[in-house]
Amino acid sequence: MTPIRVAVLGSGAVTNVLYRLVLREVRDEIELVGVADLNRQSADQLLKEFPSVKFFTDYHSMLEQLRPDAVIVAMPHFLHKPASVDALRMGIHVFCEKPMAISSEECDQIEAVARETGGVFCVNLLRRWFPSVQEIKRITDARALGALTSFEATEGAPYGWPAMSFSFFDRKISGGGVLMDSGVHTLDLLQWWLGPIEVVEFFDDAAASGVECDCIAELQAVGARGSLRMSRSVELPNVYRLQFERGWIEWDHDDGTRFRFSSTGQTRDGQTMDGQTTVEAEVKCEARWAGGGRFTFALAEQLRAFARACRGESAAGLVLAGEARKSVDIITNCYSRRKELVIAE
Amino acid sequence: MIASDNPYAVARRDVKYAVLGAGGFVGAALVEHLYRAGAQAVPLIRRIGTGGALLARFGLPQRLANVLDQDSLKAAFAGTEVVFHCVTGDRAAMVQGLENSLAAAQAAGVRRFVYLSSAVVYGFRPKEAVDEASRFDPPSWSEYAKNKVAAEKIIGKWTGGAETVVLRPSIIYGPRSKDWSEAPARQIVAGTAYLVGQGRGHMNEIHIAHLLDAMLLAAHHPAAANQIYVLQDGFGRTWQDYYRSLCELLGIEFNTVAAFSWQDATRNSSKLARYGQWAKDAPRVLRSAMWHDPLKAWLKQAPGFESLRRFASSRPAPAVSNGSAPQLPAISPDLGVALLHTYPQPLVDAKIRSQLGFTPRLSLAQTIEGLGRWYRFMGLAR
Repeated sequence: MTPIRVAVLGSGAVTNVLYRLVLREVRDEIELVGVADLNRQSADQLLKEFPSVKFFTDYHSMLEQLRPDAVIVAMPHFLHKPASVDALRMGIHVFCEKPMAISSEECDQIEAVARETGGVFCVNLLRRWFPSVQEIKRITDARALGALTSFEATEGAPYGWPAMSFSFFDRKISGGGVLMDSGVHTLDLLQWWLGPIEVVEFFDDAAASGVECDCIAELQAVGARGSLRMSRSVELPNVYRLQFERGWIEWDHDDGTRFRFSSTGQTRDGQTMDGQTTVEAEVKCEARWAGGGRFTFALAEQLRAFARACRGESAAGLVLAGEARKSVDIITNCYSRRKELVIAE
Repeated sequence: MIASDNPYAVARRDVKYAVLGAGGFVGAALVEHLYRAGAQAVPLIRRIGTGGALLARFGLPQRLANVLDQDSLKAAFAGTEVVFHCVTGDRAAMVQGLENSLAAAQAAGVRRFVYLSSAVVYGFRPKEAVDEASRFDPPSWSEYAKNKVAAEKIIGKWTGGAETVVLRPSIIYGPRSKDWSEAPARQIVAGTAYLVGQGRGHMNEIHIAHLLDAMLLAAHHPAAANQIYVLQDGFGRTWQDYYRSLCELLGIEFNTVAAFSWQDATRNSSKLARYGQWAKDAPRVLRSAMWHDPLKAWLKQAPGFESLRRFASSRPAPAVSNGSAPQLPAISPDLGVALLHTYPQPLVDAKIRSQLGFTPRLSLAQTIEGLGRWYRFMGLAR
């Protein structure tokens, strides 16, 4: 099997922190041939570890000269759409960092070009590859605990991403704050598990030209009300809780293998109904990774699946444009309904 | 938020303010206050981090400025009339950094330089009531206190053109206060909160909103030039009062807060005093840094990662078990906290009130209500 030839667009934090490690692991299926970034220094480590890789300051030149089979788009959010569209139009497949783009309108354009060119376009939504997340998906798909009655998700910690620039803090570049950056993962999982999500209300703390640090979204899924709280300023409980007619599921954010559940007539306040027995348990799924962690595992699995899809095999498991855009659509909807959030006065 | 009635405590739209340490609790709150008042604020931060995320709400251009690099400061201060210095850090940042900042302010023609000091320059529990004229008495085991004193001595000798004002608050609390509002609440929820000497000592607290008013007074009031001010809310609260109100907000019985006598607390804190604050805080800081898995993956490549990880996972050795609630985690009282909990008298803050007209604008109930809103967002209170 000949590895597919891949170029990386952007050598910022995510490339250095995550892709650099994973690309070593998947060398049998992916050959890194080029990297493009405005800042040569940011690519130093990558170039040291992949000495045959060529560096470019302009991704257009790189694509023209190298004609790779595929690209990894790991640029600031506002460039996801133009870079992906440029690559697809050149017949190059795209593995794009999340979010797919910074608005529903941009997602429309990517989706249209992907459809038109027949290229593979998928987004790195790696939590879907965690064994715990997949097991929860099986339970919700089977409606094993009955209908959903409510849900709540919180994700927050003081901002600690080793950003190399202020791009995450500039609305024109990032498209938004904590919701666009981390919330895209949360909303992707919620809609994957629960079905279409509607926005009831959205509150954040950003001024018109700024990006939100903290936010609260009041949501609705299959008739059940829910909420999402996110923060870059303070640690939140970081738990997702899904309440169903006959039980609940709790998942600690980012736990790759474990979750808790309760089944049969237990209500939220702990009272049992109809004298039924309540079972509460912690589920521990097989990790499936020997070394490294769940993030590198999930990314490696996706990149391998992406390589297969690029070779014309099945795209199973990949989050393609039509699916990846759903979280961006919810975020776009949230931002269009923004109300002021006052929590620290 | 209710605006201050004092015209000197209002941000001015015709003044450009530079805020050094804008990524910190006070600095970020000050930038927000200035922004909301329509004033021109130049937020200066040392690195991209949590503070940057808070400042990013306003779309203001953030600038990296290192207090150890005078050139970066000079450029940052250009055109500013007032500099607020809210920098903390190691000795170099707090002492040399202040000297650099003053020199850069002078070079940039800054009119007034407001230095945020601390009442810790008098020690954690002075024997007598202190005011602006009281002598410095930093404990030998507190690098922070000693650095603050060293910094104040630099201001004291300052003969440059920029007027200086020194503010000496003690406990700065309110939403986003990690040390005095977040940590106690999390400890109460976790069952690890404690009070020494029943918390009957004077808290001498100042709400962040009141501190910001005082900083603006310091920036604008003609009488504040080259003055020093001790300040506090003046609610007359004890630590016990404060913890009772937090327990009420959190829906937790006050009697779950462990009680230590002064003797028990200090017997078990001598080790902390020897090793200093660093040994206690470093694991917490590292744990926080490792919260994010990709960052952890990145750190994993560093030599010595495993030993760092083990250190980060360590907790202070149990010192005193809680006799009344043996199921709770063991608690190691902190010497500095023990001293504060037994602070015998209020800070004397008459000067700022009489000279600058400083008056807290929020009622005690409003300050508690604000904390409640923040705790609900954090998921600590319903």
